[in-house]
Amino acid sequence: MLIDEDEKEIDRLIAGMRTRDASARRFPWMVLLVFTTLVVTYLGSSATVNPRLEFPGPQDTPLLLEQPFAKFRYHEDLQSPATTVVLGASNVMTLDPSEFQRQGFGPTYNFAYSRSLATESLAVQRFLADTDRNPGTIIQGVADFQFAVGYQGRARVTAELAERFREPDSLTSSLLIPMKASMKPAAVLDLARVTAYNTLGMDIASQYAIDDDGLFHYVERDRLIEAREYDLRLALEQSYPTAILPAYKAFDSPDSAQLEALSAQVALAETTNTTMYFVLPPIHPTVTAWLDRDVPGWRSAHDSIVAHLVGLCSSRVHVHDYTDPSSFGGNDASFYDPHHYYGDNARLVVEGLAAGRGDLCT
Amino acid sequence: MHDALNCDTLFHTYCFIFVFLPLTLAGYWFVPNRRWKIAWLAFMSLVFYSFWDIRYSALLLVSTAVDFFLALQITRDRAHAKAWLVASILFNLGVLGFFKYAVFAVESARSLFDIFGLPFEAPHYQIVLPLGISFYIFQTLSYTIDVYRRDVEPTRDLVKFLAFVTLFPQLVAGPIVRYKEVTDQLDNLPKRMDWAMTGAGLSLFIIGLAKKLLVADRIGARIDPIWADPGAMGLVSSWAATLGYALQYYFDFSGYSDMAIGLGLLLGLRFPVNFRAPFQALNPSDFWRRWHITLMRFVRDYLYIPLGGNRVSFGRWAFIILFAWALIGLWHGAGAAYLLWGLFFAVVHITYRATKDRWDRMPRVVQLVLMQVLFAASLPLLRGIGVNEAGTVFAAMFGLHAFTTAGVVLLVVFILLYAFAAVVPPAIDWRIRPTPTWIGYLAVLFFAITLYLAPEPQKFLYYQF
Repeated sequence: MLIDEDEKEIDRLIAGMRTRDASARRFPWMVLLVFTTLVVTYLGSSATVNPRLEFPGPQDTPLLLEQPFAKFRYHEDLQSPATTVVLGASNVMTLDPSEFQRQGFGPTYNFAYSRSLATESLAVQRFLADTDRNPGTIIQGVADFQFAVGYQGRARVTAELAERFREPDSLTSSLLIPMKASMKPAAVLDLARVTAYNTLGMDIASQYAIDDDGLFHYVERDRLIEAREYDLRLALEQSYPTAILPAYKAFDSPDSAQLEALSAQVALAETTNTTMYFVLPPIHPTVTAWLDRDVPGWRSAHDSIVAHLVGLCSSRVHVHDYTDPSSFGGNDASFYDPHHYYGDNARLVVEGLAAGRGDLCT
Repeated sequence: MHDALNCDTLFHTYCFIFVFLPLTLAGYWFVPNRRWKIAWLAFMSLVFYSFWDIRYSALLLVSTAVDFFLALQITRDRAHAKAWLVASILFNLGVLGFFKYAVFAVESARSLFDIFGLPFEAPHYQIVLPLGISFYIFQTLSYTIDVYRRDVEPTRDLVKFLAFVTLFPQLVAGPIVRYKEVTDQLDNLPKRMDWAMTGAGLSLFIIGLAKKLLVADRIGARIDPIWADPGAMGLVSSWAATLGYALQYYFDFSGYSDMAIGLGLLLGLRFPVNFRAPFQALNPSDFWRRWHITLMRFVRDYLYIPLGGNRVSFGRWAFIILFAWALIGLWHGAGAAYLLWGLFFAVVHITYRATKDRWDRMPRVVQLVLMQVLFAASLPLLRGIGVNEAGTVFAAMFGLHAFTTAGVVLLVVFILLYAFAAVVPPAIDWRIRPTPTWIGYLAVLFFAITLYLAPEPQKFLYYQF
């Protein structure tokens, strides 16, 4: 037997549930109704194709998998096609479409997402061309260390999404495809998050937001920066040994498949009359100094990517190596971490592209 | 099933809520026979435990079997009952000691030898701490002690005893249920599901989930970055971090306990209450009658009272308190910081008793604030960051670091949340009625919870204690 106090409390709770007023008598049916609804919702959502579960990878956090999904989703929702599209990885995600518009690039959509490889950008570019949403201009971000052989991107996710969004309103139709062999419990989360994207434009759990034009905001980090509580030095010191150094140690020469993808992008651009701007975005100078000290070979691998791009130069192709912030008038302060910048640097990159500053093709 | 559904020994997972629990309840209420119900419960509890690591189910089974047979021996061989009890105590504490404290003991010895410049040859090794061991060892130990004391009849039904030890709602992080609290219930399991119990159970389960996912984890996300760098804490941010951690601790652990009690009710079982509005406590004695009640009850009944309780001289009583709290500290974790945490509360208790008249004469609000500040201030030692880092946090809390206003908004929010927690009665005392309005609240709460059910959920703070 429980001790008296416990017994009384639990009995009182149960007794409350035995209340005999009119509405309470419907309780069992109400419980059944509510939970049946929840279970049916769950099973229904399990039938969705869930990129998170179909392509689980060791580094696939929800943040990484939701970005491409959201980028495709919001692109589909654009009222009119963008004349300029930003492609690439996280180091061009903070390039503001409205800034491009101010600089004369016209309506712009930022289609970049974390860890997107050149082969993925090519898939997105093909998707845009095939669906008659080809932009007049593509800004292609190039993250040098992602050219390391064996670098884990999410090519299958991109290919799957490009296929799924080929048809208008494909999200709705994707909800109706038959349930796959395995159950997908996390699908309910995605359904909820898609709802959250559509209603709030923001992921509640991970505190980041993507605007209708694809611009990415890290809400918590932005808040810290606003409050002057963000410690950039700490971010550099923490990420260098754990993320940057291992990535660059693996980057001794560029992957030929990725280089070929860049060439294929230019070839496709020629057929669609698209102007290509290749940009190697800024890296924090402290980190490049550390890399020069610890991985002396990274510069030659980096330079061979630049050389390959310069080899693609034409009247429709521009190449800008903005690795050093001073090359476009940037500063050392407007960085989140080694490869991610915001504010002045993001604005100055766009201004530099518009002004042709440091164009290696001229 | 494990990989596909990401099953874990946590309640806030898709696997548990949408697969394991419905399957367990369906089987449990489908079989009409009491023995089958108990067998099903034991089986599913072992399945639940195996989500963590099936190999350690063997330890759980051995521990269960040993105490089952030792308890029978205590009754059969009354002449040597004490010897059988000692065997049980040695076995249980030996298992707990090996898995939880061996590394700590060896490393402490190594540090001691280093201080004196003596050679110490033992290798560095690591031992996996079996999930829930601190809880189930206490349960089986309390069983043999109760049998020895003739407080309870030993069971001859091994499956029933296995079901008692492994009951999945309380296996991982309590409440610490004693055999005498559930034996009659297991013998008289209801044949049919009782809607009132089910409603109460579902309500508590969802409230517990909400406490964990919507409050504790959200607080954790805010304070973890502060705790990540104690050296950067200022006066304000250190208090925000400690008050936030106190709140996170409470909502996390009491949420888990609510879920466990709720799950018990879904099975037609009543478990003891583990939290009773601790933020309403006015003094240390009051606080520890409201916080982790089942652990305190265990220490009181099996350690404190047998050693003399409060019917001894003040000096002896103080020694008992120091001893008991040192053990409570070490129960929370094998490390010097946990030991210091226990001793800190021993000193608080002794100080309270020595100044009881003056303490009790203070205005109630002063008593309440003082008690809560003492509790929150102790938590750097319980955070698992070690003594040195905890010392850094204490320095910040006493204003020895640079003063900045960073964290002031968090501090205000946490103080308000503290005040809220101090006036709201525990969920078990809420006057819940099965009205459509309440069901609507639960449904909305449950939907909000599903937003936070992540493939890799945050573990409970008491997980793997």
